[in-house]
Amino acid sequence: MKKQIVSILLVLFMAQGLFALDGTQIAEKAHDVAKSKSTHSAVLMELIDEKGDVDSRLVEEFGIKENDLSSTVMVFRSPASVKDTRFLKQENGGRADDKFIYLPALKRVRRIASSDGSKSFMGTDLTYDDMESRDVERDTHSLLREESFNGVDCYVVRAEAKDPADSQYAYRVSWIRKDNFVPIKTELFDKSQKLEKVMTVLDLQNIDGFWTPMKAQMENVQTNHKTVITIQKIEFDKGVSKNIFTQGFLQTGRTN
Amino acid sequence: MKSMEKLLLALALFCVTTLTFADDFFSDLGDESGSGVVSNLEFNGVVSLSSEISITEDSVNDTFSINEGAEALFNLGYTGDSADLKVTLNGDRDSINIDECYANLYFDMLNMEVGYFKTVWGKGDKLHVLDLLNPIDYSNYFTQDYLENKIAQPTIKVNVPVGSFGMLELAYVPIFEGDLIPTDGKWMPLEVKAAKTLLQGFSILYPDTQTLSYGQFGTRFTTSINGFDFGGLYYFGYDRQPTLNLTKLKMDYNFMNVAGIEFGTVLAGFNLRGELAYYFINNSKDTLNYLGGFDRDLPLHNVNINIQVKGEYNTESEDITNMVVGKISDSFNHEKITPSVTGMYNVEDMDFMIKPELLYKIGENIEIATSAGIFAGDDDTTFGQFDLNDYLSLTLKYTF
Repeated sequence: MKKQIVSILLVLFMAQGLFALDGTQIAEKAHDVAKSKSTHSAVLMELIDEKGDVDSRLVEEFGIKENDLSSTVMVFRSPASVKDTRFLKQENGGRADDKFIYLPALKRVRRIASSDGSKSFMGTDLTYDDMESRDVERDTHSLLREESFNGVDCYVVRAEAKDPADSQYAYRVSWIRKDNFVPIKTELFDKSQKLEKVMTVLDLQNIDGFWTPMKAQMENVQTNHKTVITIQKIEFDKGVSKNIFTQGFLQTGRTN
Repeated sequence: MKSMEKLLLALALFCVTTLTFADDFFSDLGDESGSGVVSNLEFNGVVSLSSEISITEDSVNDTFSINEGAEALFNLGYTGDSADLKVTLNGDRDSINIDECYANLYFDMLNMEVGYFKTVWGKGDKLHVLDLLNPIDYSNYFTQDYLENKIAQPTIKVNVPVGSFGMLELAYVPIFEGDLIPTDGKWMPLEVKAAKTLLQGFSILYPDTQTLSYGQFGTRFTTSINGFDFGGLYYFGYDRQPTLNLTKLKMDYNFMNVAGIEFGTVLAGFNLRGELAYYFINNSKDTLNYLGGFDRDLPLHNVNINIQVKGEYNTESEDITNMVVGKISDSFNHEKITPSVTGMYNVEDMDFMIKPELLYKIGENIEIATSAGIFAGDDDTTFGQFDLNDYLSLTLKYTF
């Protein structure tokens, strides 16, 4: 089940919990976090290469969740080359997600197939798998240790796919805050067991009762390329029109 | 510009003069957003410099033929509470043309596009048998993109959403324009060359299609249910390829009805699509036209393949023609480098075109594209006739 960028961060980095938990219980608490019914956000994605050169993408996101199924619309605002590209993803119970994209250069809405999960999302350092909130039961979770990260007490939990073919990574190690069960760092190891990427929360805020990673970084330590995701503005449960999640909106960018 | 086109343009502009400003989620982010979206008026475009080198055998032996050019495309958009306006201009050092100019008016239950614009119909990927509302400009057909080759038409189009994924479209094009087929230059087709030779000294009459009697109507309904996209279409108009009446020395555009269906779905990672259309053509043979294809990401780097077959079955002669179009592409360095190879092959005539291309993005706004076009086949075939038109091109594009 894949999520929008904001939801990814929320799902990955939010939880409630107590103490004396094993790895699976910690992972469940991180996964079963209370979620808002709708979000509307402005997200800046900065792609930074090893020389420090930055490419930016500004995305407006809309998300709603109904009957435990989420729908997401992403509207690319910049750069000019992708401006007004609109992407809709709709989860379906029991069958694959519907995905549609409106490309101004084609002037029409077209269905797209699910990409190979290990492929880059929009040229960023995140893959489609990285944007997926994995069901807890797909992995084996083990509590490695308890330690402080950036002055915050954390559980360090290792997650390994029960079926190796079910993940692009050999395993993941997450630092999950003890006070609010928000993971604030995740190391991702490739199939040859080498550290490939590190995701770090750079700014965590509680907004309207929701712990929100306002700034996070995914760094590929093998290529020295990184992507910094900054939520510039976010609204929870302020009412997102259902008309946004339609082909009509993809075509026009309008709900009326 | 013709009077009807002027009328529609004026109507589009009038509609927009009554607009009010709309709120924007990004407006209070100001410059920090980097979006530049702080007003309802937007201006953007593309400036490109290109150089095309002929790479025929003759040019290798003698001198290269080099064509250089600069082009610009400007988009001016205005977004209001209940309507949008979009104006697209393109031009080079010789002329500036209106590529599109139209208003989109939004009502509670529908929206209406009015003006001079291009419509794309059908599930195909830059290859269609249902995309019937606009003529095609064949002047640079092989070097330009699909949408660039379409010629905008004065149109009134009503779009009625039906549920989340359904859309009923009703389009009226008050006048008619045939395909623009070059009558000189290196892309002039064989048929035109032959006609010019045959009719040397004679003048050919063309019908005045800029009248309401040549109006066209099209309607299309599309929807999506359980992951399966489908739709139907009806078009009432004219065949855009003219026929020569030798006795009258006159070109005619035959009246044509088209009924068609389309579909699309994803199966085992294959993004399948298809179109089927029956062309009922007056004074000519009816044809059954079809398109089928798919694209798929391969589990190899970022490789994607896209294959489509477009065909025509002549119901009288029972002749069949099929063209296979394939593209394989990949991307490197966070989508900064994108190589691709496109091939087009006519199955019956065994002629083909191959177009390798390499796109390189420098920063967010600059793109360098190198491509080549290689044609082969017998002299009387679609691609073979352009065997001497092989080219190599280099384009620098700045998007703002």
